[in-house]
Amino acid sequence: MAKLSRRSFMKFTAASIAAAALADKQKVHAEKGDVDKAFPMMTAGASTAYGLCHFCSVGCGLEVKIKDNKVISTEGHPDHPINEGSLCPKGRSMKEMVNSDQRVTHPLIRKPGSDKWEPISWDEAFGKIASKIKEVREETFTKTVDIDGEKVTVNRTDGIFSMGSAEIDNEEAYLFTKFNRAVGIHNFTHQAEI
Amino acid sequence: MASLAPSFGSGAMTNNFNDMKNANVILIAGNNTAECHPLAMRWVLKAQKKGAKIIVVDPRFNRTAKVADIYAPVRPGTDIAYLSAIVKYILDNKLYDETYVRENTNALYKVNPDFKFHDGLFSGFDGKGSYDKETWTYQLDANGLPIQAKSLDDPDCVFMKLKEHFKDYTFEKASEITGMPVDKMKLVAETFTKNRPGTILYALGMTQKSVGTQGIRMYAIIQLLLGNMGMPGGGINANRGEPNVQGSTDLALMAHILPGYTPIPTDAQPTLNDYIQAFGVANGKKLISILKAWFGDKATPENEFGYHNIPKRDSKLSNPTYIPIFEKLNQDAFKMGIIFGQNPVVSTPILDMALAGLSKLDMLVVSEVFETETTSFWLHPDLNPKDIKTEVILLPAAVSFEKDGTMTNSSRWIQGKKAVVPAKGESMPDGDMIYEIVKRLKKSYVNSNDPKDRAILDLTWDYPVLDHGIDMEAVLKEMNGYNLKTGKLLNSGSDIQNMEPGEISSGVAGLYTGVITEKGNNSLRRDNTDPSGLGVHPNWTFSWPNNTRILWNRGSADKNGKPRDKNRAIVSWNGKKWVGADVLHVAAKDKAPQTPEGSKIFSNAEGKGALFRGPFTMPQQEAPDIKLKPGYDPNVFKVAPKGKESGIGDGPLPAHYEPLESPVKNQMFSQQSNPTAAPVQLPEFQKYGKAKDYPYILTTYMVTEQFLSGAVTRNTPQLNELMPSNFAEISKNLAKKLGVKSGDPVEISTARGAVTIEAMVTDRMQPFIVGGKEVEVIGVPWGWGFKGLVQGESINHVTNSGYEPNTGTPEYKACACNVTKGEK
Repeated sequence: MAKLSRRSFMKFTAASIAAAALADKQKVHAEKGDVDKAFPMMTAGASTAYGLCHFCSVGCGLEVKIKDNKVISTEGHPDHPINEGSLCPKGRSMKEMVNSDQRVTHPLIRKPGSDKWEPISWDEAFGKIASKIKEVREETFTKTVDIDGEKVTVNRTDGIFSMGSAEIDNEEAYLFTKFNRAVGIHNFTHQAEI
Repeated sequence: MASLAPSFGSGAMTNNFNDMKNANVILIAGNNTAECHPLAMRWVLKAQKKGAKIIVVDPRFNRTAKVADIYAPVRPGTDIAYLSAIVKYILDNKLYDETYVRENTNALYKVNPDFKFHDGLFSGFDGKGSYDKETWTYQLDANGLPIQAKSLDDPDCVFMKLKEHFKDYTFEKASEITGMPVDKMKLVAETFTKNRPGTILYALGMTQKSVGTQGIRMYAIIQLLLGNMGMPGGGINANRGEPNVQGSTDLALMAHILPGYTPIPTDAQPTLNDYIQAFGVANGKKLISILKAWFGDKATPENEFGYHNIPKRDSKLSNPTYIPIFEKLNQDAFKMGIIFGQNPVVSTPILDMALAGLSKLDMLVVSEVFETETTSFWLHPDLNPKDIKTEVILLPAAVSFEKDGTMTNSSRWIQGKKAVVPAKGESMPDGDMIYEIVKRLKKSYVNSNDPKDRAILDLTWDYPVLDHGIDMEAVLKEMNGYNLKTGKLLNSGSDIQNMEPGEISSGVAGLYTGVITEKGNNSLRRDNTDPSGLGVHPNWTFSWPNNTRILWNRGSADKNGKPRDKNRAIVSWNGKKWVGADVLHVAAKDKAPQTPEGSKIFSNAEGKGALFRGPFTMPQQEAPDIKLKPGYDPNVFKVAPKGKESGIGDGPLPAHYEPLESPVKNQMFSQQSNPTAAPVQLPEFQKYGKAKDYPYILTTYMVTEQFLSGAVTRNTPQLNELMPSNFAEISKNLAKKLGVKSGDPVEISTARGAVTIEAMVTDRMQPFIVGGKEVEVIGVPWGWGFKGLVQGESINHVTNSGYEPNTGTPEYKACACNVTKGEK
């Protein structure tokens, strides 16, 4: 955190006192863009959106404040029947997750034997993945098995395993299932098992 | 959920978080609600404020125990012993709800006279590791229906089998096994039976054990006996882990099922006819609705609706898949791995097995938000990247705020949300990645005439693309399903069963039907009103199935359709139809309470709560004698069974077995541990320790501030300030013996290796007295690794990969370990 100079500290204190006085008398409405008030709230001028917490399975509702296309705060949504405006420390921290500088922001590849990541385009990444899936599928595909002397069509891709995820949305999970099964993948599971 | 489904018909949290306020007693056993589901605790505390008693059973005096009315310690992995003592107490003292038990459970069904249980083994054991379940059946009449006893005293009936089975579990015996003091155990039993309705909360604290399924079966048996099922304030509330683990399970990201808990076809069902004969009419219709959603017009009766486009599982395999994947990896079975949003290099027991396995792949594809121990396994401090030939592609995933979609919480609420900010950098929703990969696969196979490639070529995949990705509402509509004759969205899951197969599609086989209809997207509803005051909130998003908020709620009313508790009236019969705050579950809305359709409480094959769970086939009455056309013949629906239960692999009733690694001998039987546990596949990794070398018990859990594997939270500064490092909780007694104080390193070793972690010496941990012997428990949060802003040694380097034979869940909660003073 940047050190406060004496001058800015004085200014900060004065503003805090003014804000405290103001808070007694009237509410500061962030949505109205009351940026010129004595106490410029962090959320002043921000828009409000509805969001869902992305940690445990309780499914708390979030009031998400957005400014310049950036999430600037996450509070418990007062209308949500489960959390009724409250949040745990994880839900409260969601803005750090979305804005984090640690996030991976473009596709990366680690080549065999290498000790580092290198950038790769989406197109190249998808191309590599699709052709590897096809290659392994063709190499390790089982069309039929013999059960009690009868040939049974099984259409299995044996050489690929797939995992994930209880962290993605329902629609994504559904597409993932569809994809895996269409390819023939049967070594397939995710967090729910463990 | 492998125990709730066979007990009742489907497996999920039966009630919901808000409903906990209606309870008069809450047993929290196998779940640290305050720590792991903090906002669920709000509803526990609301109940307590109204006078409900809160009971916490846990090896450790945890954050939830702090506010409980009763805390009872239990040795890790021995829950079935004390729960059996509670069942014995209920039966001996006739504390069961006799009307509910007679009307709504299989208590009166007569059991096959050849069924036996002796010295820890049920009849039909093959001496190696599995059971033939043919004696775990009912006595059947000429129509194939179970013969019912006239009274609960009939020695052949399920109820008497229950009495016989649990008779040896006295409080004293259970105390010797569990280390729970007798007076505490009695108090738990008295408090839970005296105050009704009562609910039970559990989570991974019950399931991460080699007897997990049978532990939850104990809950089912207790709640059925007490008449707590279907009641507001009752039920069995599984508190699930990840934000969408309910959804991802419903959508079948698992080897043994297809969406909507539709059984996966296996090589024992070569044709669609065989499948419908094997799994029954209801599952047959479910499967066809999925095939119509997946293959559209290309799914026809002539090609068995594309039945062969789905890979058929090896019928010899049991459900577990997670540990077997790592075993097969080490046996060179895979060339490629695809991991979306999961971090197995923190969460897999015996991490060396995971690291060695991933190193054998040609290519690993990972979609993640952050670099994790899995994306970067080749940078693990114990490995040399030069030696690892695996090509790794890391796809940057958009986060929840950046994408449209729905998630299903533990209450089964399908909650919708919209993208509120653009995706950071080039990151992309996982759904769009999958969309792009399949598009390329389709292109690469476009000239193929090989029947095996129809699955890819015929797959329905035309989703509209919006400015921020594919239209997820179009996907949700496909999941919901359509009436293919009218082209309109379906309104109710029961349409799948009522309409002709092939005339409807539903990607989730009816389970999510009603979430989006011609009237609008119900997952986005945000009317939080609660007219009944019972926490139903019927217009808040959408709850599966059919917006029912409390599963099995028909049982909250008596046989005449009158609420059993007027303060908890949630459904009732008004003389013409069923009305009430909630949507009636299972029974038919327009059928009088005494009719077969109006009296059905549960959706398993019998329609009765299963106190005893063996295999059972509900036959079709008056089935015509028809010779079916090969492949698929619509007449199969006239002859196939109505429903089928396969039973549970390790027994029709629970029994106490010691964990796979235990410091003591089983005091009940000479059978030490679960006889159906899977054998070791990789002896170089999967080692078991002996009590003389590893006398203590290691158990693992998480903390509020660091979530699961820590992939997100260990990259979140404000959470890292709250919980900057890992710790090992040990008792003062053990600390004194070792000569360590809080902050000193301790070395925790098992047969698999050793890790060094700072000790936290605490009264929260107390040694147990088990069979006269003192046993120490060491507790360590598991979500640590070598990546992220804060790092720490992973306890999963040393945990045990032995797993529950029905579900595959490893026994993280009870491993044998030793603890010594560590080096600074």
